[in-house]
Amino acid sequence: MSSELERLLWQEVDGELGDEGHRRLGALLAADGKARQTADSVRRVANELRSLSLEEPPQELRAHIDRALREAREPRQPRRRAVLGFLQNLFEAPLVRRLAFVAGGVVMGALGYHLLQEERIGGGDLDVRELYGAMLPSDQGSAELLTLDLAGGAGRLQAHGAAPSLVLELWLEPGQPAELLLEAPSGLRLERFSPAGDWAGQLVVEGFGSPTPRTLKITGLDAGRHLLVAQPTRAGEPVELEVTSGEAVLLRHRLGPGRLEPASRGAPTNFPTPSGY
Amino acid sequence: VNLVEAVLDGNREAFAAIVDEYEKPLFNVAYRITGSWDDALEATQSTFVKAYENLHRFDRRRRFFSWIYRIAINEALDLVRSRRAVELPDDLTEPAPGPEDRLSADETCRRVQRAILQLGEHHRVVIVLRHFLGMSYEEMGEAVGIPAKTVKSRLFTARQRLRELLDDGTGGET
Repeated sequence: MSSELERLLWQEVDGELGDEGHRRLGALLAADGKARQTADSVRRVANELRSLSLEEPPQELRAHIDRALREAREPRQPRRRAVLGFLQNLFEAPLVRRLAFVAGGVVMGALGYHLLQEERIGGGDLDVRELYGAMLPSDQGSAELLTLDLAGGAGRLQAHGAAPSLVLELWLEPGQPAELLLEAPSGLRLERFSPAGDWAGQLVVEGFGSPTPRTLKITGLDAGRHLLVAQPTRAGEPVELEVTSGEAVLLRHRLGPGRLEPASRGAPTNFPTPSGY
Repeated sequence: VNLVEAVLDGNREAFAAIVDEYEKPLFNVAYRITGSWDDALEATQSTFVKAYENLHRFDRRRRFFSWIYRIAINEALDLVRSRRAVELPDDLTEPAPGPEDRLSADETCRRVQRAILQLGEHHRVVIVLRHFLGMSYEEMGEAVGIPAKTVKSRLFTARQRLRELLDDGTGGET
């Protein structure tokens, strides 16, 4: 009855209680003193909620927004002009030059793709500074820079650079919870961590309270996309990365000036796309 | 949607009009979800940037306000989650100091805001959308991305929990 009573009371607050509801509510309240206490409580909470008005945003907010929008527009303009200029030149050129342009582009593209594949699959030298370029996370429209598959099809990890930070997106398939460990000799500064869903794990840092912990461990990572942005204290310093699930090591990788440990190889898996808006 | 089309047609002033219209409600959504004045500033700012950058993806058959509120909710929740992780363990039970003091000296407001911050993320969001923005179940469902029926039951549970927190006399203080 108490659940029905409370439902009717909130419908009354919302102005959605019909004649039948009013009669039923009246009967419940007349029959029971405790019901009247519940009614007082619900109406008091509703009044308290009504007492909270919309706050005026601080005056500086508009300036912040305008500045952020300006910054969001600026990097794109030269690139757009450059692309438009290129296309204009291309279509104004004689046919033979145009064909040469296109053929050259195809060859260069194929060669670049081939080299990139070699790098990813075979492993090789990769300077961590390459990861700290001007790239942004994929949900902000950048291309991926490095993708590593987790062992056993458990997911994948993408590394992007957003100078001078390292942006990691860890995708996990449903299964056992996983742990992510990051370690840098001079320390790491965690800038952002956005776990998937209702994350209930722990974030453990060595020497809690220190502004630059040397290791960062995140437990209880479940299926979905986990975003982490961290900045090594010393630019270009290698970052050791490990993803485990129970006793199993799903990925161990060194992002840095030294040799890359090859990632586990396997057939590409279908992963969910990053959640949009 | 006319403003959206104007922005897509290259009229930047139209986006300024969108900011004018949504600045205050979005800031309030972010503030009530994060409980932090500074985080609300950050979330509101990044909401507008993301909206601007992703406007071409907006489905014009849908309502613009639910799209932009959804971005704001995601931005605010992302901040809540990242703060929760970084500030473990001491700051979990108490929101960042200052906002309530800065905003209002009224004890009722403080109690209610504290209780709202004690709710789980999903419950907090529906309480804010319903009681601060006066959204209908359908509008809330669009903004959160769940059916209106689910909104209704989620809101009921959220209100029950909120009443428990406020009735125990602490306003959610632990």
